[in-house]
Amino acid sequence: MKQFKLGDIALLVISLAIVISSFNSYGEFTGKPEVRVRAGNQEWVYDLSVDTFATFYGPVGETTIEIQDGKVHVHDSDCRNKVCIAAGWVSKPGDWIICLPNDVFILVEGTMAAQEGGVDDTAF
Amino acid sequence: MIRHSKSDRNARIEFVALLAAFALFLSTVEYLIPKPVPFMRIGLANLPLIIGLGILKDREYIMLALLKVLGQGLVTGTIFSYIIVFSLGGTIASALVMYVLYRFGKRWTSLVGISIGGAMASNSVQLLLSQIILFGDAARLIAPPFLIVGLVTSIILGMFAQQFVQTSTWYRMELEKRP
Amino acid sequence: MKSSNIRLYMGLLALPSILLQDSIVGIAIQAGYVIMLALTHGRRFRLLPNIILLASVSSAHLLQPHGLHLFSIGEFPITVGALLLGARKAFTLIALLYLSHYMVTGRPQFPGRLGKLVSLQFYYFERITTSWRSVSPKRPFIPAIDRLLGVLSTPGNDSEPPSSNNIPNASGTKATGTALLANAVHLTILWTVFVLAQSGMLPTP
Repeated sequence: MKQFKLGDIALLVISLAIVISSFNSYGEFTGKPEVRVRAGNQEWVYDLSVDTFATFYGPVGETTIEIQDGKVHVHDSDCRNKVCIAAGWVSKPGDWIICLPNDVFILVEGTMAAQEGGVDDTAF
Repeated sequence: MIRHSKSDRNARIEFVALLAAFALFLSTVEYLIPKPVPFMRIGLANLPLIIGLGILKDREYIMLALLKVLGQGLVTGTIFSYIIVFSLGGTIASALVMYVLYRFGKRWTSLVGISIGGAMASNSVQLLLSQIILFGDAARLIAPPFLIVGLVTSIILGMFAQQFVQTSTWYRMELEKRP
Repeated sequence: MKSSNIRLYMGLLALPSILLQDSIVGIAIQAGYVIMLALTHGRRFRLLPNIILLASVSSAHLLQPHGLHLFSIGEFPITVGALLLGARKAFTLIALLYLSHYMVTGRPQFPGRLGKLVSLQFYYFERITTSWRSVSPKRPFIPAIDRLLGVLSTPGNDSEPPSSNNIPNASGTKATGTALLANAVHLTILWTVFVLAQSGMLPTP
């Protein structure tokens, strides 16, 4: 037990480095960008970095959003004017899309952007 | 050319089985130790593997690692569940790393360093697997305490192994049986 | 087919129905059924570790919010979808766990040289567990282990290491018949739950 060799120390140092670097992940989990959807008087939350579809029900019918590649848009909606669909993709915290007839409000929240310096294409 | 008699071969098989049985015994002991979080593994069962490094032939070493996983799976009944994947992944990773460290680094590290290397490899692989299979990104939250526990226990284990290899008469006898 | 291997095969065949299960209700049912199987064949079910598993996997998934927002802990949203996803994964793990518990209860024999090695391993395991007390692991630790190993290395007083023909659970064909039937029933039930879920029960990703 008294003969610690050079290699032991080296491996120990490397391991400590790995352990310390693993603490970095603690910062990642706060402020992740989210998509918050309010339809009616209920609220839904989705992770902006997870691709998914979600459908909400309102007075006029269904409104479906799609989250893809860190962006969100209205994929389909039963409202007449489809303004919400025309709003295109949004991704920065603070961006929002609304479908007034169907009472669906979509908001991107968080303290970090899913894509730093991403361009959101709002087309009219 | 040395012809290996049948009894030689049998003796070797028995030896591997004995070490494997110890691995099994130690995993049971570890299983019974109450842990605050079920996923903290102390890696007691790696001890026979570490000790075997100096004696076993390559093929026997691989066999031992395999038996360790199989035995553990059978006894804890986890053999056909996700959990065996963790055990397999961790054991393969640590067995590999320890083998390489021993084979090429024997002069520079004692069994302590080898034990550390094995444990870090095993735990890292298990964290990775748990991220993919079970927890998603949350696995990274568990990483620091998991790695720390693994590091500390591997040091203790390594010191014990080193001491054992130096003082055990049984070990010395087995060593002498194989020139 | 050796009767000791029937449960093994049944479990293997049932595996996909559990792994591919998408519905949380479905997997909960399957898990419950499998736990019952394990319980009736000697395995114990301890509630606490399974609850901890369920809770930890479910809460780990909360980090990726999905679905209906129930409430928030500070800034952190607790969503229904994430919980259900986590719960489903946890149930799957539990189901697999107890299924493999069950598969092992018949003491299946593994074929080939590996099987022989495993039997040898278990033989020595039995000897270790029975004789380690008598060698008293006292303070001079390593010499105690040396004594233990010495005892083990010399052939034991009673049983010889098992030969490959040693089937601990060799039963007659009658027993095999009922075992076959029972396991066929288990298999059907598990797959039925799967099919039912695929065609409409409460699905949750």
